[in-house]
Amino acid sequence: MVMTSVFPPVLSSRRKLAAERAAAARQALMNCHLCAHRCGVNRLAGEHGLCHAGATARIFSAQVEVSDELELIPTFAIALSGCDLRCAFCITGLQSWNAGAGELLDVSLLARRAEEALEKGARTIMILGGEPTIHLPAALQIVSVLPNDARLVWKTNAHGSAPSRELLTGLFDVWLADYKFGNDDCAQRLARVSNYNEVVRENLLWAAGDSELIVRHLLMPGHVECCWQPVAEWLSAELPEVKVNLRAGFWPAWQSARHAELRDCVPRAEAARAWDIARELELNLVE
Amino acid sequence: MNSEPTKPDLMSELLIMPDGKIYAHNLTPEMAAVLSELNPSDETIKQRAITHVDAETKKLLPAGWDSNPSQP
Repeated sequence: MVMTSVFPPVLSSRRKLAAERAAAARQALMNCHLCAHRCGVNRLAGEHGLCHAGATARIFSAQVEVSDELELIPTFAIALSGCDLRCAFCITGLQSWNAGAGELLDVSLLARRAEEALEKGARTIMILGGEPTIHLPAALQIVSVLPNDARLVWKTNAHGSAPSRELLTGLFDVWLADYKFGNDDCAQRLARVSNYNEVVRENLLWAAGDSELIVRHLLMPGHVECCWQPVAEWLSAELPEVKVNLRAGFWPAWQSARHAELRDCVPRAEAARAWDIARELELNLVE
Repeated sequence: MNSEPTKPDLMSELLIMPDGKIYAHNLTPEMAAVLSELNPSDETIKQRAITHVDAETKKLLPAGWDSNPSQP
């Protein structure tokens, strides 16, 4: 049987296209609307929006990893510092809440390391954060030096804006997107973000048409009914074929202790209930 | 002379709970191999650890050793 993909292969001129778009993305920093906060600050002039990121990007990790989805690993994961969300339970809070963490980006060195990783068997190259969308110029610059045939993964919180999506169109083979909160109250309380669900849903629907999409949900203790269930129901209704990775490995990192329900791991019974919901809704679960 | 401490090239983070359960983050192939040795019956980790097998070792393994059950 011949398998075909509904998505065209990424453009053979991806490097060139990414370089052109990197320049456009840098211009966009003058009136930053890269994420859905749409702060409108001039990052090129030293102004900072809610993410506190400036005009230059830093990385806090670049290594081969095997903790992501099985179909993506081993992946050479490039983590950019800083994020536009403020998730209390962030596993990389120190670097994700601080765009100044890590080392200045050296694109040439990164390209060499990525190619070496591919030669040694890495299946994909993943650009993540923090949140890479807030560093779109740098992310596109990275893409512009990666091999055209490398399988690229965009790991995102799905809180980007329409202009950002436009600059990302057709460049990545896979969008690996978080859908963290099933209601806006939890999103506001735990990640200081408003209008979360509308933004994420818009991004997910768009991403499903642009590339392969894998949606992740990190199960949080005490949030099965309020967060996972509505997320699962929406995915089942709107993106019934989409790959979903339900992750139950929550650990109380960073500022989790500020929230009573986040001071422990996910109880076994809650995890079981979450899996039941996934099965009942016939989600396309992946590991 | 540069006296600044050097940052490790690779980093994984582990959380070991009182019940012995281990949570891992930023799992490198090397750490996956260690965890798989600790608990060979854990298929989740095993699947991740085998991605690290080098080319020479692969030749010695039986056909289908790396089949991925999540793939169609």
